[in-house]
Amino acid sequence: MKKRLLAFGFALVMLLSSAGCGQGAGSAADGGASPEASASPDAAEAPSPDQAGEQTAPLLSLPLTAEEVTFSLFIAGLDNMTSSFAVEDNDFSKRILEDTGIRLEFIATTQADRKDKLSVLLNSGDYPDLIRDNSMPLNDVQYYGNQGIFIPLDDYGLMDYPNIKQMFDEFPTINDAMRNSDGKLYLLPEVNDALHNTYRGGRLHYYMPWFRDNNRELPKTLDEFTEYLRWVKTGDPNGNGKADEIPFAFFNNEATIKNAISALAKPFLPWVMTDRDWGLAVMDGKVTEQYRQDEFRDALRYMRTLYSEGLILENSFSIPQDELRAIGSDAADAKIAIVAGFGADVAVQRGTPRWAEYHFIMPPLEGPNGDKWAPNKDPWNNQIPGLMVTDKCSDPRLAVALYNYMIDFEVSMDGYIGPKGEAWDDPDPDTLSLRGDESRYKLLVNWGTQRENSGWNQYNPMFRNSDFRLGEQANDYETAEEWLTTGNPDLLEQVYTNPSFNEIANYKTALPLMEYALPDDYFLPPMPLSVEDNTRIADIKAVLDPFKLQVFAEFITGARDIETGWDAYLAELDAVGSAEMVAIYQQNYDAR
Amino acid sequence: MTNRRKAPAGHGLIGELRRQNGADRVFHIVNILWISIAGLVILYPMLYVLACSFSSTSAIVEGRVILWPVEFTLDSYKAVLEYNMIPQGFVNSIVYCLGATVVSVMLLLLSAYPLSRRDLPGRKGLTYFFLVVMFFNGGIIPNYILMRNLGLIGSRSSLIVAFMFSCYNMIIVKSFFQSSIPQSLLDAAHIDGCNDLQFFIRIAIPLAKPVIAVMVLFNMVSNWNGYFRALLYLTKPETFPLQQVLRGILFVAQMPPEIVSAVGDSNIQSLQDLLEQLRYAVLMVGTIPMMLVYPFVQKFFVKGMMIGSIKE
Repeated sequence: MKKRLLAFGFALVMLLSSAGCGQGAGSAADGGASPEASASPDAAEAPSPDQAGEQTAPLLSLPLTAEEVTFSLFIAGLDNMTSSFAVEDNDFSKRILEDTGIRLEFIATTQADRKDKLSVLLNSGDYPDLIRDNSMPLNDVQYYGNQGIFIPLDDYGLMDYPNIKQMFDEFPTINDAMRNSDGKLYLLPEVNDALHNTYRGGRLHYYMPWFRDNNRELPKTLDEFTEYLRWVKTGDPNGNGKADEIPFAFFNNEATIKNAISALAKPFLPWVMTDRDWGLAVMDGKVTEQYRQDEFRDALRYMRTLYSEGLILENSFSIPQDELRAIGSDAADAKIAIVAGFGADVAVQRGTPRWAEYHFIMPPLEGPNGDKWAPNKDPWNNQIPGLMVTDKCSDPRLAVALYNYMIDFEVSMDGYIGPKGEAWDDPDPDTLSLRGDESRYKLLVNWGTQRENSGWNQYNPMFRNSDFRLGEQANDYETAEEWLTTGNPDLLEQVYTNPSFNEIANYKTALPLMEYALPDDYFLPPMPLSVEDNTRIADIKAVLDPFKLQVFAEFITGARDIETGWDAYLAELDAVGSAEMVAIYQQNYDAR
Repeated sequence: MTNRRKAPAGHGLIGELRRQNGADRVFHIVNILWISIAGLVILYPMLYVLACSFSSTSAIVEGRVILWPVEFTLDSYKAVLEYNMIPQGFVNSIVYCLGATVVSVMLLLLSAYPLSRRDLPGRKGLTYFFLVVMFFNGGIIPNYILMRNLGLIGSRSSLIVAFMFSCYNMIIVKSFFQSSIPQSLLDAAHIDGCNDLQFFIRIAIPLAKPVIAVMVLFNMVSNWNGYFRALLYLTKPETFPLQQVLRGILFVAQMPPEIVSAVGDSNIQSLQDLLEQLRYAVLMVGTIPMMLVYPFVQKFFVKGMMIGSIKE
């Protein structure tokens, strides 16, 4: 850390001389003055960019402020591991105070209350200096930015801070994804390029022992896949003499249903599924409704066939996860061949032997037109808002410096799990990381067992590129790898009890998919929309999203006929405003 | 007929049935059957949750728990006690619940009784004042700003003040006073030399016991179950009531994907594992206090619900 936090002796002097610059930032809310000038009085006093740069020399040496400064911070994430963020209770908050001289006062709440609490704070005018909300949509950031509540941060010399600069250098798309329509940055970005963000939309986990024990090859094409499902239904793979096997299952959670339909649509077309969009892709610069295309109709026909043959668990659209898990965890026999979901624990309890046996992802299947598409990775999903600075902040420059400090590797590790030496440490020499290369750190405690309030339990801002999450020192990497390649039953005991196994498996099983990943430019980038556009799209989506889900379920279960009901479906799409939504997106996409 | 008359009348259900004629008896039997089935339907989930709270996680997940605990264990209660926010929240909830109930019932009586008196000057105007405020309140944000200006944001007393007075309940209490305390009683008391305050304390309040019980229950239930105002007004975790903590825990189980990707996977996983372990115990902890209170006020409750249904 000391290597990075280079000493700039005059920084302190500069800080003292510029104390109270937040006052000027407040005037942005009053309107009238040009936002640029009012946002940073430094810039207003010194119009020349060079001079402005000099004025905002980065605060890099610790402590960041000689006199103690108090910032109030909104943060969501209270739980059993962090029951208090307060400086008196929490080691990480205390470390921040000791290192930087900044005392944080918290408006803390649980994840469940995050949204409600924050909107009351912001709308009543009683908001804190700093707001931390990873899940705030860009449009909300834009909205509060336009109101002058969030202040633009470009003028505070972001690129002079090594950790912030590194983030922008490694992820230049932040500039596309995180800036408001006025081109300014109203937030300090955070990167979380972790594996669970990778290859999410359209995953199928299969029960490996049925392939292993029956000497069956993994399907490569859609026909082989169908043939396998049929064999599961009739071939008694669990060997109990009863036809109680379920070839394909998912449960009633909306995202899980979307995932299942996406997985079965992939052999037909490059179907896009992200947390924001479903079936909306950018093809040759055109925002395209994939759910209108004939290829998708074929995909639905295929799903209808599976369903009518009884190859999909009949009540998949309505069964709750608990009940599906009860089937999948049946103590005597495995029952489910393939589950559509985001992890191996969709149909079985985590940390059990059978869970390790579901840690296998179906490779991309070749469809009728010869295409193969992997479960897709949302290229925009790894960049999230890290911290917003409000016009109440007395010293935004200090807030930026604080952020740079907090995302420093060693500092953020303390917030991630707990103090160095107690919860994590430098890696042992010559050990392998979760992805099998040199490890970067090792955890000394398992997740969920760290001392209460020893850190912020991951709710602190971090710079998590893939080196970070996968840089963790793995426990018994070799055995996990051998299990994933050979499925040797003798290894099962060692594998499912290994705390590193889940991540190793996530990485290892995702690797072969990369070849068939959808190109990044198929994904609609996040765009800050005008208030009218945003309202209109929100209105349309509120009707369209549940409508799509319902109609697809009806097509698949046969409640609607794909042959006779398709035109009516297309007409209904128009009626709920699908085309209008696409037009708005297209307009904004072209204007980027 | 004679036979039946000679049979010992007997007490209880059987005797009751014996005394009745055919049609009544059939009606009664069907009624009892139907209510028993409805009772079972309501009782079973509670017993199931109780059994699950004493069962091992694997037994629950595999669906082996039906009515009795399978692989009996107190692990989930241990997990509840170890989750610091739950015991703390439990204590907080009791404080808020009792505090707000006591204050609220006192205010209700003090406002409802005068308004029930026909000889109160400006009674009509005052009643309208209460009604208008009840129907047209400012909403969340103005209430929040009011609390902030009172300097109560973040303090425990904010929850007691926020639940201090319910106009709707006041009208119920007022109608009770109007319908159950006749003017002649007041006149008689006055003749005996009783002043208004004495009448209120010695006669009106004792007579109002049923409605007080109902108000106590109303207030306790809504305070115990409420989390929304706590969400608005509280800022320190050590002041959170139980329901807010529980909501936080249960929320993690159905974590929307956009949050899962923002928060770390390992974090969510450890929370979800924990949740799997303690969800049933937590439901019991959240339900039992109200279930303990309810039987004692239940008889008043039924009576109280009828208040205002008949006009004098």
